[in-house]
Amino acid sequence: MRIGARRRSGPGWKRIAGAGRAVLALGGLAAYGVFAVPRVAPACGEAIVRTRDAFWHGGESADEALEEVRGKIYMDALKKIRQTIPPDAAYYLVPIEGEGAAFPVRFDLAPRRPILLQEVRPGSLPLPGAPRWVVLARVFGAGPEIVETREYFRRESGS
Amino acid sequence: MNAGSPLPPALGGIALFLLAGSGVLRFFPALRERPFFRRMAWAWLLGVAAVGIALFGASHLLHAPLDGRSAWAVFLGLALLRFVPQRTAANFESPRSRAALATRIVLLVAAALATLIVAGLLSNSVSEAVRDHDGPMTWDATARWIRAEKSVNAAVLREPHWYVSHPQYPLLLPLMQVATQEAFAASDDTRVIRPLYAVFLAAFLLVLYDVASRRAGRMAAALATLSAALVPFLSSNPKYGGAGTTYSDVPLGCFWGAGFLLLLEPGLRPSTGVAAGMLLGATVLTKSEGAPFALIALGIGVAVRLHRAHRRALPKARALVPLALAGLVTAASFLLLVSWNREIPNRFDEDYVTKLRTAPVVAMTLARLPEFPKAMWNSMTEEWAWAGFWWCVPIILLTGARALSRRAAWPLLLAPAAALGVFMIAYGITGWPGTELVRVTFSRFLLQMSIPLFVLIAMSLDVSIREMRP
Repeated sequence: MRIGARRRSGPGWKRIAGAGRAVLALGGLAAYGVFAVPRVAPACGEAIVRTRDAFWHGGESADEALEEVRGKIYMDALKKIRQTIPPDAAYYLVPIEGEGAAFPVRFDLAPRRPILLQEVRPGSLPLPGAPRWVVLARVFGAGPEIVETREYFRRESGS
Repeated sequence: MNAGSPLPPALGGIALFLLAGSGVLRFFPALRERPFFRRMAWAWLLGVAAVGIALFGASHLLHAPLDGRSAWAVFLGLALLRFVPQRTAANFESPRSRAALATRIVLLVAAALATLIVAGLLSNSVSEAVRDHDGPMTWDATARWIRAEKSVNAAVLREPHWYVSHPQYPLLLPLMQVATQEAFAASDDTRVIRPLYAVFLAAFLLVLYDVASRRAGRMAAALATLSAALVPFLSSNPKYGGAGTTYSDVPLGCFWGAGFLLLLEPGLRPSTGVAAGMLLGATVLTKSEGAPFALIALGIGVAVRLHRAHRRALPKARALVPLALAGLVTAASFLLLVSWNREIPNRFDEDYVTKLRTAPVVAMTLARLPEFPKAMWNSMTEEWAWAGFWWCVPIILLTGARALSRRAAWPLLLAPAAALGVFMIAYGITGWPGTELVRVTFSRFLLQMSIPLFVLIAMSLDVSIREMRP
């Protein structure tokens, strides 16, 4: 038998191969540990805090819970709009802070039905049968604002 | 209990979906006989699928009103299926041989941590209003509109002058919301609907453990499941797409992953094919990309069954019966979606369907392709979302590469790769500038694909664990 053949088939090679597999296996498990172990404490801590907070906020109404997310100024403005526009009515929605602000306002007013109003041409008037109200969609600052459609068209069209 | 508390309708809704799903399970022995908690996970997915599909069909085709009576009729009708006489008694899976001490410790620790994380998410979901972006933009708003009009054929969707984003988006999850709210005459409080999405995390983890433990050892499956629970984007973030939000990516991941893995089971029964079809049908009715994903799952399922039949010299036609049934159920869901969609003028939407027909898809995708890998890797390495997960995954997979070379791994590699192709095309033809769409959506795409990926992680870990055993 050639010397090389003996080397490749001997028990030494098996030990080296076995050791190599063990190192690889250890590497895989170590990689898992590198991700998982540091995550355990923050994940558990967050879960405990969330459960505690759920008890603290347990008695809140839907509006109070929404106020935690949107802020008091927004909620006060939203309540006024909700009281003015009936749930089955339509309204114009103006995204004055961009679409990012329009979506939460639109959702908070649903199921009221919105028509997008992006610009008012000079001298134009609202069509017959147009919604009575315009909502200016703001999430920041003064929150959403409600204006009568005629008044809004007058303001924007300069008529 | 505080008047107007979200807890009773939220818990009631969860219970009703579980009961409906348990009724549906009566017809699927392979799932009916699984251990209790895993069985409940399958019941949840099948319950949401069955209730959603039933209400969608009843409202669109039969013009049944979406109200409390319809909701209760569907919930109870499905729940009572449990009592349909069975030809053979349930043959619950007998406990496997007693695990080694190390395995039992790992199982216990993983289960305890995952339970704590799910409990924290459920607590948060029932006490805090929706904070995310896409949910209120699309599905949650649509749910309020279809609930108010008591129909999926709502005028606000069909009439083009209403400002509705993505009006053609499928309605399974809005119907899940409406069914719960109508069954309990609940207000539009989002703390009633958020828990329904949080339960998908529990279903995700249990189904993952179930399918992974059948392909890798129990310890490896437990470790892979625990790693899923520890990924912040999946299990805790309340804003950008995981189970803490009302985005539909985690539900889609559950339906698609569970349906796909069912199709790969050895000894696939025709009834299991129907169950897989329901889950893939739910995939189609959850998000627009659900249809191509369901097709990928069915295509790979057919290839696997044909290959197995060829190896065992079995009749190919008979081997394909479960896949044919799965395909029929999925196709029925797709036809329902198309029939409903036809009446809705698309607007405020990227309209990929038109672009696929009219744009030079291949040229556009190839032109933008070089920009994708960097943008994708940037998403995968965001610390707040993934906490280094994707740095570790390649090492885990490479060190357990023997698992990846096994025949069982190939479909699990192929399916996410094919789905990635679907997303690449969307990234190529989108009107969004540069790689902005990748930045905003890629992490959520990873959630959609994650069940097969986590099973691969389990299989790789299993190789490493077995190597370390004395």
